[in-house]
Amino acid sequence: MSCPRILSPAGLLAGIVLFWLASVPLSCLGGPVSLTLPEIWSVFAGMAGFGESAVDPVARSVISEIRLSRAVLALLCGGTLAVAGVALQGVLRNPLADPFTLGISSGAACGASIAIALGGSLGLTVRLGANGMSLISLCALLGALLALAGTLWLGRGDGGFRRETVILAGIAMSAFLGALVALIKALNEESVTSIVFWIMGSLQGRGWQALPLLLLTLLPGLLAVALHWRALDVLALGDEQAAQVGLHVGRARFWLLAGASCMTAGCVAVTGVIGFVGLVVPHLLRLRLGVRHAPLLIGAFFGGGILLLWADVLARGILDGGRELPVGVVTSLLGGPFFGIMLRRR
Amino acid sequence: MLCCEHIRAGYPGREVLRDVSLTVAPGESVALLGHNGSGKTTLLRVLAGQLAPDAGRVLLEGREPAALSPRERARRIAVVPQRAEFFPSQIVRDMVLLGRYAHLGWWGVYAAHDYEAADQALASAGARELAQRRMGELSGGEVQRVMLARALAQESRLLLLDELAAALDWARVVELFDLLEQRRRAGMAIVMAVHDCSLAAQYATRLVGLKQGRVLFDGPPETVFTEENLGALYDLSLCVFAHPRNGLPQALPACPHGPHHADRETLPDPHPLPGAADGRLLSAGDAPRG
Repeated sequence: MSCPRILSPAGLLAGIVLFWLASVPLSCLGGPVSLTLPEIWSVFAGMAGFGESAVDPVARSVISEIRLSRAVLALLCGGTLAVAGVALQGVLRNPLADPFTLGISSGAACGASIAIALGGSLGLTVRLGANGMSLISLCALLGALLALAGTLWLGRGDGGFRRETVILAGIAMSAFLGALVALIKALNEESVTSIVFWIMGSLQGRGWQALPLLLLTLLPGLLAVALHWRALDVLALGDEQAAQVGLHVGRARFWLLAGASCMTAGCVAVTGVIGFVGLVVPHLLRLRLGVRHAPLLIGAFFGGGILLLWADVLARGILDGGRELPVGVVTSLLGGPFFGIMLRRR
Repeated sequence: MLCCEHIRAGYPGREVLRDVSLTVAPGESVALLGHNGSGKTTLLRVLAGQLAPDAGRVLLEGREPAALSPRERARRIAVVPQRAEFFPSQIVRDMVLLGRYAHLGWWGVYAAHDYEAADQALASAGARELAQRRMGELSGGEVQRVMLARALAQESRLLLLDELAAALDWARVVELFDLLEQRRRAGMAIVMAVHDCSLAAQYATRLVGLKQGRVLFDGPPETVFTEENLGALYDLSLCVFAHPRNGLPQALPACPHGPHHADRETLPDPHPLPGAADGRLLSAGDAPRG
């Protein structure tokens, strides 16, 4: 595919980081309450401890409690999904791999479905508000981590983690857990809408309270990937040659799989299943940044965040009357055709 | 430096090496000869510590390669594979730098001496001008030179090569083997699987013939490069003669059946093998041995 050569890879990375920073205040502009950039800056300055803000308390509350937390979650989740996509495509040497290849999304969906169905049956709070959120998220996280453990257990052979076996184990796990979700929906019809809405993925109603859960999985996952980023370059040589230049292939593959999947699990637990970010962003960046994983991982963290943040802005602004589209629907609606065009032009 | 004793090794349901013993000293260049499936690549994998023997033992400087961590092993043994895997868009210098992986710290960041080692290896392999090219743009010979450069960048004392000369033209072959000879003179130990036995006789200090997983002969070319040994190794009638310039032994098949052989006079084969065609071809000007 022809690609404009205006920016060098380093210049492109710098541009992505600058746009990432600029996106935070810009994304706070839109919504039912009209705000200006000076008001937003003023609230940010107040939150950072640079003097008392002279802004209207309502505007301050809208920014600090709703829009900023949503922007931060979008940036972190989008970045997480894209970094996990780069790591999994590298470690599995499969361009179709994405953060959900190992059955994470099905595990999270299964856990959330059980929470929603049981919550409804037992009369617990299951609405996607403050109280219900943590129950569903915790069950989704548990489901995702159990699915990951199951996939790694199934995918581990005598010679360690072979990529074909791991992919097949992920497919088997996804199919089994997908069937479980369908079974829950069939047995508990009143929960179908909530389950479907959760699976579509959204940032609506999440707030700062979702951040600890996200960070709990994001930080160790990111550390595991960061410590093995050079191993991703080496794994491109194939297992035998990677071992010949000194890589412990099985160990590196385990930590990369576990790290990428762990951070994906936290992300899915908070937002539901948001497709295409982890697939499209790595491929887009590879066109310009090449195959070296250091710039790819950095670019993916910031690029993925930008994509999800602006998809979320679109999701909450496209319908009138305060209604929102699930952001997972927007990323898939945009990502699908865009990816198709990219493949055709390649 | 490297010593293996009574090695038995293979793959599930198939024993490839049945009883192989071999020693390699620093500054030695050992060529493994044998037909396809004779166990050359399997022996290289055992020596590289990538395949654990079912019986016998391998010792590299007193330690078993399979017991070393991959990082320690890569600092001692470098391997040039028969086929290279890479991203077509990968830059050559980045590929060579991967040979430095075993020398990197926790964060995997290259230091100045890693770049120096990679550039030195590129220069030694005659690939300096390729440094900024993409791997997908290279010819087969250029890829082989880059693979050799990556192995040299590991700065190990033992170099294992699997069919380095495959798919290369003569000029590139001579260039690469001249380079290996320089490394050998510098004290490196080299073990290489080679199909061209004449080339092996020119460049190796020792020839090891493998047949059906066993060592058929082992010694310097002047001693073991005979029609009897090679005939038994390849199940083929061969002529061995002295190189007209340096006197080292060379070999050619004795009974080819190409389009130019029908009208030519043939001599009886002094070493007929079961199933081999009768007689040897004699071209004008040839001095028959016997």
